[in-house]
Amino acid sequence: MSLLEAPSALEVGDRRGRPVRTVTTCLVLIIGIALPASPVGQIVVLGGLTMLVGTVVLTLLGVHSASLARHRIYAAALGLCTLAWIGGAWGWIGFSLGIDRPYDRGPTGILWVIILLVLVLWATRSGADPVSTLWSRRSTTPWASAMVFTLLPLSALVGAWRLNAGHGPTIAIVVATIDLCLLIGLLTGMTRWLRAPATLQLFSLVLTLIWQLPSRGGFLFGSDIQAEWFVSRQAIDFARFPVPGLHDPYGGMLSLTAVPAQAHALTGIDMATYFQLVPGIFLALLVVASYLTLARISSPRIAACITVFVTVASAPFLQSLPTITRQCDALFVFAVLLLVITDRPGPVRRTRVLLGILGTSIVVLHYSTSYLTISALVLAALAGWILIRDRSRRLLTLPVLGITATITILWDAVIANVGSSVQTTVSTVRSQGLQLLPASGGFLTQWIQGAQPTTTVSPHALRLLDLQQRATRYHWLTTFPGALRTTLRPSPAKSAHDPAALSRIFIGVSGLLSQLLIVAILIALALVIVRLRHRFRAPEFIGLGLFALLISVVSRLSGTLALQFAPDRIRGYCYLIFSVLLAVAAPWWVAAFRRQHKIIRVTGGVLMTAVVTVALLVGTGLGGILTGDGSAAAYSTSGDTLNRFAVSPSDLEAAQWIAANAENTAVLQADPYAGLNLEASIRLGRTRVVGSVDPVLLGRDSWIYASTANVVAREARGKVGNALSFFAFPRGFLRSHYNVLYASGSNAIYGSTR
Amino acid sequence: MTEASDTEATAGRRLLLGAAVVVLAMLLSGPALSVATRVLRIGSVPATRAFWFTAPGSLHQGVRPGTRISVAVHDASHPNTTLRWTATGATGGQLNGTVRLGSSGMGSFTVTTRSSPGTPRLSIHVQGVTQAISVRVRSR
Repeated sequence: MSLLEAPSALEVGDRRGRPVRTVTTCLVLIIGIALPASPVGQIVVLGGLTMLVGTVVLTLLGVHSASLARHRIYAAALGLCTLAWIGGAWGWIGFSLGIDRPYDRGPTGILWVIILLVLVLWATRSGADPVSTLWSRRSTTPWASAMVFTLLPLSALVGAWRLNAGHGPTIAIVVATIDLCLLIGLLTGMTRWLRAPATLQLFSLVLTLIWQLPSRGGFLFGSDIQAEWFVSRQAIDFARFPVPGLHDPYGGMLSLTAVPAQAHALTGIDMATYFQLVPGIFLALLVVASYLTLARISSPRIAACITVFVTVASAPFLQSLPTITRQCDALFVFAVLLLVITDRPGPVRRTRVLLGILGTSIVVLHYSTSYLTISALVLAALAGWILIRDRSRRLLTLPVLGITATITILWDAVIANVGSSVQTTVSTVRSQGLQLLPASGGFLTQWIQGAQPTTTVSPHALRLLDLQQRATRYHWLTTFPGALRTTLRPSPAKSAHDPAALSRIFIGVSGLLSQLLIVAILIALALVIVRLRHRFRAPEFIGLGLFALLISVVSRLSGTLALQFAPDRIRGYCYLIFSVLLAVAAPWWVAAFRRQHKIIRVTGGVLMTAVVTVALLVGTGLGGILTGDGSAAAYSTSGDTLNRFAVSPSDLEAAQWIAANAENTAVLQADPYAGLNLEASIRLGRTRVVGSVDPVLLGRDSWIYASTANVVAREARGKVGNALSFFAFPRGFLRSHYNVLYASGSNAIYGSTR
Repeated sequence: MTEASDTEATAGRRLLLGAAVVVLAMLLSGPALSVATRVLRIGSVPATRAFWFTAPGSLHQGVRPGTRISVAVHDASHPNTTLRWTATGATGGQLNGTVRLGSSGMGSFTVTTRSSPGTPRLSIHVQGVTQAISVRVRSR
């Protein structure tokens, strides 16, 4: 049996008869909701509810994919969307009906028990058994393989938690190495003996890599994830939707409010655990959805190779996206939307409805993904109108686009209140222009690096910039005269910013691959437009490809837009589309390659394997260990990335202590390492905050917050514009000029006792 | 009874058995995770190091449950005075007490952190001072 077999055919559709599986599932879920919180209960209730409501919606729509794997992916995406819509509606209608706290355990539990009982009644009377469509009659995966792919992601968590508890990185490194070997084995066919479906392998192996990161530090790892946690806590505290005081884009995302609040109410899951684990599952499912899309238009082997190389091994996928949870949910739904366009799983009209549901759901999951999606769908529709002559076959019709666009605009304007952020972007572009190609280097270099690359400067250079800041931006700060006599000492950490020779080779190869990938994307797009436009089963991708190319170029070359949006996130979005174009063109290249001499074919195969291995080593951070740099946050207890993004429970406690004790008028100061913790607990933007601990910028009456990185590692970071520097935390100056208001083994808060 | 109905009955029994196993797993997984946490050493908090803070203020520190902590208070400018202290997260819930500073301005008291599971945390407030004092804590 081939390892990369095509997704198995769905053996049964909507089975009629005794709906035993649906009824049993509903009853187990009711028991799960009623029982006290437990880890398995949380998995069963959250996973079961998502898949159940998803498959029920699919049954009601009359959409059945010919493949079990694709059917399950549709069910997961629709389940997420339905939970979001039901949760949002319940938070709003429940409160309007006089229920004070609809998201509390009682009201939400009763709501879902009623929904499940209605489903039991519906299934019994109609004879429909939607749950049975998610099951295979005979599973060909051996138990041992299933266990391996179940235990791997769990082992990744054990590795991360042991690192958090102060133990060594051995488990984390061993698990990641095994994972990487299995991933390469999957692509080369060397792990065929495991006899597990490619979808299961991809899901498990990618989830293992994803789960290594968000729980590092003990609380949550990353920048945006802290603010997302705060919003979800607000939703739980106020227990309704819209959340009072959060009339902004974050408060308008059901992926951060209604979905986690319901999960908490039904299973007792705490929000840190939720954000550490759940969005990662959707991100791993995104990879499976992307693979299934590519497998519809190319061979399974090519599909797996492109998915892993373009999506998984790309810089943002493993390093940024797991910590931007709202985008994990929205990108997953977008990936499934692309799958629907390629797969056309049902009659055209029903498929259009499915597309409409997915498109409109993206807006409630993540507002900026919805802007991109609407624009992409417009160009896709144009391509469809030009290239699909039979009107009845067109999926993206005016009603589908109109309804999706209307709901997107209404939601963004009324609920998410995105007007101010859009206005900021528009006025910035008006006043500053797009600032195309602001940095040095060629077109391709800037496309890869982005338009706003950060440059590392010496502590002395940073001091000069800080003095300029004091004279201009922070002229209102009353500082200590003696501060001018101090100097910023270099960071006590070993120079992690000077990579080893082998590391330079890895970085060089990785950069070259990025450039080659961009060239390949351009050739693939040209090939699809010129040669394959009428033979391609989903010509809408020509419009999608053109849009992705445009937005990718603009976001990465415009200095103005790069400051407003992170280009890496747009890259994650665009590469989902690009990988489809590559899959369309790949069979041509493979056929040409096969015509070459055997020696060239073997050499090419080995070279390709080496290239993918290097890309994965760089993407996963394992390359750093191999080269001796060893600073990847997933395998280390120190390093700039860890200092910058890891937040421990004690960091959070100290920041919450400030929130509880500092007066609203107090100026808070923290370096960029510690500033993240303040953002998590008190929302940085709402208080007067100075993001520096350089003594020349320390205000006499400020409260200074020091994080674990500052206190234990004694490192501090300074950033002015694009200039970044590392220096020793000025503990001596702080002790001599301030009182310690709060201290623990890993945190300190300095301030005046006046 | 036909072969088809036999197969259906077997499938039904398997389904019920599966459901029962899932419910049992939901009941037992909480305690199982606690055991796994201890065995795999993924939930322990590193031992307390010596640290200090200046009052007025408060002190938070992750310490092992049941740890006895000695708190040394020093206020050289106010010898022979009595201070009030409050500890939250100690055995017996919130504890209050007084500490008498000697002629050198030194005093001490001892608290034991709560031994119940969960995040162990000790919070100490020292009140009644008009001037900053230093408090040094060392776990035993």
